[in-house]
Amino acid sequence: MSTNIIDRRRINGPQRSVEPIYAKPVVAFSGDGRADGRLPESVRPIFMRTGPISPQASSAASPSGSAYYEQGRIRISCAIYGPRQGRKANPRMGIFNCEFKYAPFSCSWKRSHLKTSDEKEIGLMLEQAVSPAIRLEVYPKANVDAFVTVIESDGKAATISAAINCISAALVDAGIELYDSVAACSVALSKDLQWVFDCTQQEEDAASCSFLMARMPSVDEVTYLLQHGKTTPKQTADAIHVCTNVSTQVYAVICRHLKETLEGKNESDQ
Amino acid sequence: MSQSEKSGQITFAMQTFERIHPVEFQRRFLTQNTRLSGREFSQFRALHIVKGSIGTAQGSATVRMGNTIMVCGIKAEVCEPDVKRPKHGYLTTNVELSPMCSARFRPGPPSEEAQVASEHIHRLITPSVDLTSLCIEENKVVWALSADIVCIKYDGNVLDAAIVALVAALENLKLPEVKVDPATGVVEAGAEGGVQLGIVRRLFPATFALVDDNYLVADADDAEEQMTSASLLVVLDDQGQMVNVWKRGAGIISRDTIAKCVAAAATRKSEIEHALST
Amino acid sequence: MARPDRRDTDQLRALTSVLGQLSRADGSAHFASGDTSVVCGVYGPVEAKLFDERLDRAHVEVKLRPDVGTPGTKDKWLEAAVRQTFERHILGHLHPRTLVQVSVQVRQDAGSLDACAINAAMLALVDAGVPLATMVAAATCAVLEDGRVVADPVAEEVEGARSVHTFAFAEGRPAEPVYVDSRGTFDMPEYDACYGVCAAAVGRVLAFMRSAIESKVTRESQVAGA
Repeated sequence: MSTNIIDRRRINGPQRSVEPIYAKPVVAFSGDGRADGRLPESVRPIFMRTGPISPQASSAASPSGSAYYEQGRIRISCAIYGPRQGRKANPRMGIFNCEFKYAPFSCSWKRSHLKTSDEKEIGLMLEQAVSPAIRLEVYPKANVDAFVTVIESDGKAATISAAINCISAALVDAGIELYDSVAACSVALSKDLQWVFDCTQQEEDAASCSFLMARMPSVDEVTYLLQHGKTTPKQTADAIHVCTNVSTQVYAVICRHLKETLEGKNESDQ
Repeated sequence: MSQSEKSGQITFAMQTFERIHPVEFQRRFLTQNTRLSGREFSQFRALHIVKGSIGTAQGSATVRMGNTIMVCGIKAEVCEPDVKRPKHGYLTTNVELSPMCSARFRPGPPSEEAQVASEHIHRLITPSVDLTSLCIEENKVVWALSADIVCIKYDGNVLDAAIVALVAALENLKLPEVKVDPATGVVEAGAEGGVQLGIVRRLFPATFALVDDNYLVADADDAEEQMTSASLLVVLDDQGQMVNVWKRGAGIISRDTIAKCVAAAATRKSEIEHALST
Repeated sequence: MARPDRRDTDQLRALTSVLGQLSRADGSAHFASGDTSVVCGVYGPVEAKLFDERLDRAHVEVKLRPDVGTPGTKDKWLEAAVRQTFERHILGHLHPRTLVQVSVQVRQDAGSLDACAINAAMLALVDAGVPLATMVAAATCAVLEDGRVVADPVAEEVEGARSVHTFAFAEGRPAEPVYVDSRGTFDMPEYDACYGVCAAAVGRVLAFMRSAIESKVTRESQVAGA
């Protein structure tokens, strides 16, 4: 039973509330078929959009860059501010900050309005995964801030990798100098010890291990690896290998979108 | 940024002028009876509503009004009712204005603007829904709905967008059939479509802003809101009756102007009705 | 049907006020309308925090405390309403880079609190000698279930009312409301009727406030002269 914290800056509901128990369909998670009929190595379709919706001049308070990203049921929105003056300052290098937030309705259970420890942790992970791609040395004393909100999630590892892709696209939209875009993908180990890509929440719950990789494909450098659960070194090596291929595919999708957006912009300018 | 000097006059690119002197920039448009967006003074932005887009919420809606985007998601939980109101469920409404949607908002607890919007919407929506329809078992179990309205992009007039998003999400709300085990008190949810929330009235908001003390514009965007000295919110219900008239700020909006705005809100109502039905 | 406290429909509850009651504040006022009572202290112009400092005018801050419990969103809402009503009427450009702090403490809420808070803040601002463009006062009225329009409703009447209306006006400008909050279900004729009732009531409140200030000034000048 969950106890709701009384927050005097918000409208509060009852002190204690619980979710009714839903009868969940049992999913067999094995190599011979996934609930949504995908192949093990296929990633859910990606849709993304960068920049403001109407080309009209935006106000001074609007972000320098923004992106909206969909991957299957996952929906993420991200805004980039900067380079701008911030509270923390390093005289040699810029600082990349990331605030990660799940919307209260974005998960299968109701999330707290207050920032939870897992949101802080994911925020840090995103910072570490994306910072290596940013040319922070050209922004001394400045901050680049990313604010990420998950509107809907479906699978934790998949959501984090989607957030990384979303930030990458938004950074390009903001015109921040980058070495390369970071593309991420996630896999989970199925019961028959096969790596299955981009797992939904149901699949992830049934999996014994989940693995996430963020990578800069054009320079072929890995920026972040995360593994939950146990594997043999060989299996992990396999995971790195398969993720390398798929992250390149994801990267191609991001790049194609950015290119199309740029071409569209140029056409409307003429 | 191009900057050249011709016969003593400095000329700027439009964007540069807007950055350096936003007020004067807007004024150039207003004095010509136009707006930067090309809208008429009395013209609202077009509304696009997508209902039920979020699978993890029991009811949801996304509302887009120009560059303002709000998402409302409703999570349903069960709880014990208040002793004083044994048949009434709960409906809480919170507006989230995070730093993601605009640099005006800081990370951390909700700003005053967000708190005032949450409170105002809560006061409007509470008499507009039949909370007794959320009763599962009197004195034992009721539904507790928490509606969160998250701003994804901020370009002015969040109050209108938030109210429309909330109404659309409430219309979209599908609660499951539930069974209460009398022995253990465990609440089990079954198929969709058990309890339906009784909506007494839908709300149709229209906000007008007094810009630069002289120009009354409908549905101000962010830049216009920065120059606003008074704003007027008119909310109508399905029958076209007034539900709320709320004027804030000391700028002068006369009695007659308010009456005209109420009439204009009726036109806006049909626009919102149309958007809600598609 | 008589009202719970046997008033006429357009009759206000007894108004009382005490100016300069708080010794620590630069100006203060206790304003009560029947059992609804509010104390307000004004501090300023004082030094502003760096973040709040405005280069061309004084920053106006309102803090509102409820009668019981810690402040919540309801109090924040009223706080914003009080601030927005006064912000433009305070001649802040005379005191740039300073802070005018208005502290409102609700003592008892027996209906029509919003109007009472605005009136108390107004009197306290005058008492503190903060330069003002004009005087502003507020009044509330309600449309009851049977269609009667009653001025200054008590909590019991607000509970069963079809709609409740609060208006604030600046002195001598009954056609330009400074603040309007009408809620419930109502039509234009009802709104107009409430407008008229509140405009008349505000006139009486302003006259009361004026006499309260005058008597305080007279008393002070007598003390100074003696």
